[in-house]
Amino acid sequence: MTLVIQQLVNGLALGAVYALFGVGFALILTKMGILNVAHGTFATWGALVAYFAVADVGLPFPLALVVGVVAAGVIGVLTDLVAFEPLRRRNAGLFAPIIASIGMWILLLTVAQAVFGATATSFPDHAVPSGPIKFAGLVILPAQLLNIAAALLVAFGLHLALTRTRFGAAVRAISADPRSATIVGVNAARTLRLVAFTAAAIAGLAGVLAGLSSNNVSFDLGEALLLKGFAAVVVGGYGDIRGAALAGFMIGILEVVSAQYISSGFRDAITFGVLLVILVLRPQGMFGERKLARA
Amino acid sequence: MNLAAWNTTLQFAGVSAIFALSIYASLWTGVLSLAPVFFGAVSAFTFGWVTLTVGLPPVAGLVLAAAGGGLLGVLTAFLVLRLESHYLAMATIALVLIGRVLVLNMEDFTGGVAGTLAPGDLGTWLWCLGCLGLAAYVLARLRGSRFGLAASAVREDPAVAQSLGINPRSVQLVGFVLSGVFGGMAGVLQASFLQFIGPDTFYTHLGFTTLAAVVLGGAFHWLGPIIGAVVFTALPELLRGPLGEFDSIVTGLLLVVIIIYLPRGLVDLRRLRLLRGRGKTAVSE
Amino acid sequence: MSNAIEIEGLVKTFGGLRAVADVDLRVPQGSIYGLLGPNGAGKTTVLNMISGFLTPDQGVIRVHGKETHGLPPHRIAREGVSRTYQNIRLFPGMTVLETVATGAYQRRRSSILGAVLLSRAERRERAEVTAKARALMEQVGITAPPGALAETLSYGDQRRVEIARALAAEPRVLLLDEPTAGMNDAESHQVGELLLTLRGQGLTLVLIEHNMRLVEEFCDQVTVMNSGAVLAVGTLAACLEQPDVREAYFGKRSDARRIETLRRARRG
Ligand SMILES: Nc1ncnc2c1ncn2[C@@H]1O[C@H](COP(=O)(O)OP(=O)(O)OP(=O)(O)O)[C@@H](O)[C@H]1O
Ligand SMILES: [Mg+2]
Repeated sequence: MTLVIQQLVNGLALGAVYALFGVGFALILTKMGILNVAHGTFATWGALVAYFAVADVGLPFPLALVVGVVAAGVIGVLTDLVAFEPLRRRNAGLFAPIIASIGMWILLLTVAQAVFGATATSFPDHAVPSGPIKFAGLVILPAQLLNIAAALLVAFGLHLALTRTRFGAAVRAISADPRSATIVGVNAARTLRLVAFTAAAIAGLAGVLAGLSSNNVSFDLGEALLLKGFAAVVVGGYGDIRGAALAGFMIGILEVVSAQYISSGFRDAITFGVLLVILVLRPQGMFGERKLARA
Repeated sequence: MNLAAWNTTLQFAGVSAIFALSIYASLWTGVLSLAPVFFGAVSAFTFGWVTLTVGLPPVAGLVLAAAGGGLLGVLTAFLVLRLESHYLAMATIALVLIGRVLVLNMEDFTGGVAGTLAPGDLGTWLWCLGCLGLAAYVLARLRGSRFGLAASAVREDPAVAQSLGINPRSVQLVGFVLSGVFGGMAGVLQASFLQFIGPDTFYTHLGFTTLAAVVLGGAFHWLGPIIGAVVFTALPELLRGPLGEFDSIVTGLLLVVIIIYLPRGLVDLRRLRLLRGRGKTAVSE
Repeated sequence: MSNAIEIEGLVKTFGGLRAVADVDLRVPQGSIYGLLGPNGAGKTTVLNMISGFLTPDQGVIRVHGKETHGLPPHRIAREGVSRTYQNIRLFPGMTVLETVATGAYQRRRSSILGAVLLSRAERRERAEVTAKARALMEQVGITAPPGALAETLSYGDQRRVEIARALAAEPRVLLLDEPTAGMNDAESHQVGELLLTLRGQGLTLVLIEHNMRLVEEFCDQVTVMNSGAVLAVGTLAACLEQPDVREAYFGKRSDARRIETLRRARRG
């Protein structure tokens, strides 16, 4: 029984990172209509910048985390300005942004590799307290608690921001119809930048936490996150940010449990298998109601 | 670069042109699909297995792979065609991810992490150009046909196409079959040239660079993907001197610049027609 | 005379808006039928439901006796329903000839294999389709060369390409959503004459049209809608006698001068 609970905790901590990443990814996908393949590299850059802030500059970890998150956010805004904004202006349709994001993905990944090198490192041991907390026979690491807390906080915070604030209203107006939103007086440019920043900053946070809890910081850290976050969005559904968060946690648990009881080799197979099954069986759930053209 | 290196590079350009045509076949019907990479993986490992373990001749392996690819295209179509654009694209990416997991875990058949060998008999210019020519010929013939016009219509405006009696799903199903056959052939040729295939041979990188090639060359005419593939294979080789291993920076940049400034690619019939139209009015005025 | 289209109790709501509220419509076979009403009356929405672009919330649609509501658009098209669009929808990048030839999809039989092998049947069919497309272009009065990009044509020609594309499907019912919008009087009249010819060939035509002169001259019968509901059915003259129709068109304090303009228009 303790083992089961321990695994649930481990799964939640792992899934928290997926949830976090998935929430940012879903924000861009559902509110801006962009399937952003480059989103994983935002996580990578967040983690790498935070790592250098700790290891080379010598900043304390909390500060380095903020630096990494902001750096990721800025890269997100730049990506939006360079790759997506021109297409938005041209009203380019669905595929063009995907292709532009593939370009940014290749670019950011290769630059990360060029700047930081291909070898993996990890955050120094003293970054966060590493002594496990023992509680009722469970062993919980402070980093695991941090993951779970961050994911819950961000998911619910973002949900509230999107449903209860003026920022949220502006985002909804723009995602429904960018042009009429501008007419009603929503500052479209500022809102779009803010969404891009928020989504990328969340990815950066997910990247830092993923690097911290897996003891592995490398230029391709974001790639695995991208795939899992993507699964979280699809499984969680299109409508609600909280769905992606919930699905992220579920995938984490699924991975830990399946690695324990089935085979660690098939861990990814199971995740992606679930992804495909959901995609195929519940397509209408993913995209809301059937899209209808207006003549 | 010396002549031998160029020879090899151009042969790989030929193979990636077939992959590019495989992506084009779906894109023609309005479907953005990376499934060709999955088709290529399945056919390449099947090819390795039936030739080396079962002992079929390589040519039979190629035919089998092409037919199997078509069948796989049908199955994939049934699986994913009910999805809307973004999710469809995602599902095909998921297929590529799952493909790698399968390769890693079906060790007896694929060699797992270590990969497996493949015979090199078909790794010649003759087979490469033959397959490419066949694919291009089929697409060129289909252009003005009932299917070809319907495919373009579905891509440009599926709702209007439907009001003309065209069922987008069945047009897209045909697109997937063509994509499967071409992807199957490309997988076998890739394996034949490399003579060794592993879990990373057919993965997202291949899919994204091939897609980039299609976009660069132009996704509105079968000639576009071929030209794009040749440029995209040769360009990194040319850049390897000045940029070293980071040549893909240029790939990335190029992709962004093209989709923004040249959204219909290098081979753009529409632009040609526009220019031609302008020329005419200029003369008549 | 039997009806080409029969609609009973048609309802469509968008959010809280009842765009079409309990509409009945009977379009006699072989007639030119006008669907009138001020902006936002729900005319296009009715057309969208007939052609299957929208699924009705309630109601029955029968085309030549067969229930079509709920069928996908391509199945409805195969029942012989073709249409044009209020805001022109051509295929970017296609030439006029290709666009019209695309309309002939349902009439072509050749297979993929035939096309690849360029069989005799395929060659014959391509020649036939090209000839047919050219004939249709001529019939609807397109002056631009067949190889021109459809989207570069004049407004009027673009509308005519849409009509030709719809006719290439050899429909029994043709739905036209403001086919003369943006055309001058002479051009509009030409479209009217075309409608007469098509009716002579046995087609049933449903016409959404704001040009009263044209409606008066060419429509056998009309239905006037307002705010999603049917106000009047009958000949245009009879409908215009109804006060609520005038009110719908001209507001409460009916503008005598505009009515007078209309009267004059009706007299020709
Ligand atoms: N897809 C849609 N979503 C939301 N509202 C719609 C949609 N289509 C139509 N409407 C609304 O339904 C009402 C009827 O629209 P419709 O286009 O049918 O009018 P119409 O009679 O064709 O007017 P017009 O003469 O301006 O073309 C309008 O208020 C319109 O805004
Ligand atoms: Mg209308």
